[in-house]
Amino acid sequence: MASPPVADPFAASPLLRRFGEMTREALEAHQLRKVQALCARLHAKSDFYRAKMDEGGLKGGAVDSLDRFVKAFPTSAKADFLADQQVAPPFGTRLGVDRGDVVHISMTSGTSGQGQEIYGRTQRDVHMLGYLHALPWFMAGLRQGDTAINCVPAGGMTTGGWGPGEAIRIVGATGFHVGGNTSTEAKIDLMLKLGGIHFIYASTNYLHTLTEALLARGISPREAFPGMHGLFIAAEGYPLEWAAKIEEHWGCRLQEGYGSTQLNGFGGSTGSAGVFRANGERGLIRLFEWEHLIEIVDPETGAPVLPGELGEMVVTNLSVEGSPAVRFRTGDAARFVPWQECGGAAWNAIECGTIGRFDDMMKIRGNNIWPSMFDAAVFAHAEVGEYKGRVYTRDGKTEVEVKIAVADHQSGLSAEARETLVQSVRAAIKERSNMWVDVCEVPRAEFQGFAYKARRWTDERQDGYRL
Amino acid sequence: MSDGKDEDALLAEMLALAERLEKSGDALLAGQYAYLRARVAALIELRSFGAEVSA
Repeated sequence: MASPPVADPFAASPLLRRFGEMTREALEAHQLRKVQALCARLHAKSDFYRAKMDEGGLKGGAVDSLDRFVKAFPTSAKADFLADQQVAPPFGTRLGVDRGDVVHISMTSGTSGQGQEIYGRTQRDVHMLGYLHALPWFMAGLRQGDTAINCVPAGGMTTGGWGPGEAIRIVGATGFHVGGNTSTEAKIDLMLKLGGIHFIYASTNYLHTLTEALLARGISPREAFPGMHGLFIAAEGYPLEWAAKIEEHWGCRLQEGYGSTQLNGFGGSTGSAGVFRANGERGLIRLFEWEHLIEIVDPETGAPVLPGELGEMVVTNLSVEGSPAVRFRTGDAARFVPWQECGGAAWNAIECGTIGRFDDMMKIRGNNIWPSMFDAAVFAHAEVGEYKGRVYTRDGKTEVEVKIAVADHQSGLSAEARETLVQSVRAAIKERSNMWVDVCEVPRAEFQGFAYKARRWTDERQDGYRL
Repeated sequence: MSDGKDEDALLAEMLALAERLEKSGDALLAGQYAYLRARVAALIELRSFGAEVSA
């Protein structure tokens, strides 16, 4: 788009250039070597994975090809890890090292309601945790000497709590970890005092909140922070119209990464290319396949999806020592783009901005609906600051209600313009979901506490079945 | 290893090696090499009790 290009990371790093220039054949040979080492080690150390390998017929943990690995090594899912932890708390029998080598833990957030996975990390894993955040941020323009704002709550027990701090440190930049305890207004005050900011890491939703708050104070981000060369988001989808506005407001490229606790950091990113392709279409998250083996499969059959199709991400981190995740079913839904269609480098990709959850899918009036469809329809309207949706039952029929709030910096909108906005949002939802839903406007104040990771949808249909 | 002087010598050698790595010119690795050098330097520092303090 119109945003200025990022300094070429491949020119600045011979190591990265090697990854970029390797053939697909060399990449897969590298993956196989790492898979073989991982399986041999886990067969010797991990009861959980030894049982998996025995079940799949991988005798002694021997793997002779990637094809054999993905066909024979059974997948695991969150429920398997939680059951294993119950048997042998706290790490389960999937631990790949002696207990005394665990120096750090990562826990999943527990937002699924099923329970929290606990991952043991070794000293080496902690460095890799930092590196697997630093790698995409380096590609996005973060450099030694830069000032970086980390808006994700730091510390605690999550991967996202520690990875950013380690990453910014090992890049040689200076991190201000403002997430969590600092209000948005206080963050803005601090940012204005710092005298130069070069990089921001935030959830999609929080970058939106921060931008909206700056504009509401009459501050143009691109004028207030002219040295900014990277905005990096993760965790939630977004419409391209929103991304274009963000780039316009900030005057720099928006980048996105896909990461998880199971991957010990990021598994891929938009690199330096940003979230738009040259033709203006959605960009690509290129996968770091020399660090991970990432399959995108049909969630029903387990077979690899075809190019352009939506599939479930099944991930294997190839370097974790402590608690590896081997062929882990993430439940994350992504559109597969093979490396041959990516315009350089042998790394496969997924479409950016549209990663969703298979378990977020709502069956509404016979339609398969993902919240990301509504995100795209609603946030295509720059006047909207936030929204929430509710699925419920009325007179035996499933109804959908969407409440929108006008952004603070658009508070001068007339009543007529607000009504037009509501109707436009309603039409956009119909276009994307094939459903007419109820849309109404509510005050922005109804959305307090939404800042970091939006949980926009509630499904109250079961309440309608109560007698 | 029980001989403290051997550990000092090893750390000094590691510091020199890390300083050479820092000059590699790879911007992705530069900060990581600096981090490595700093960890070795910190170990030298915390073991320096009784030694002559460097300027």
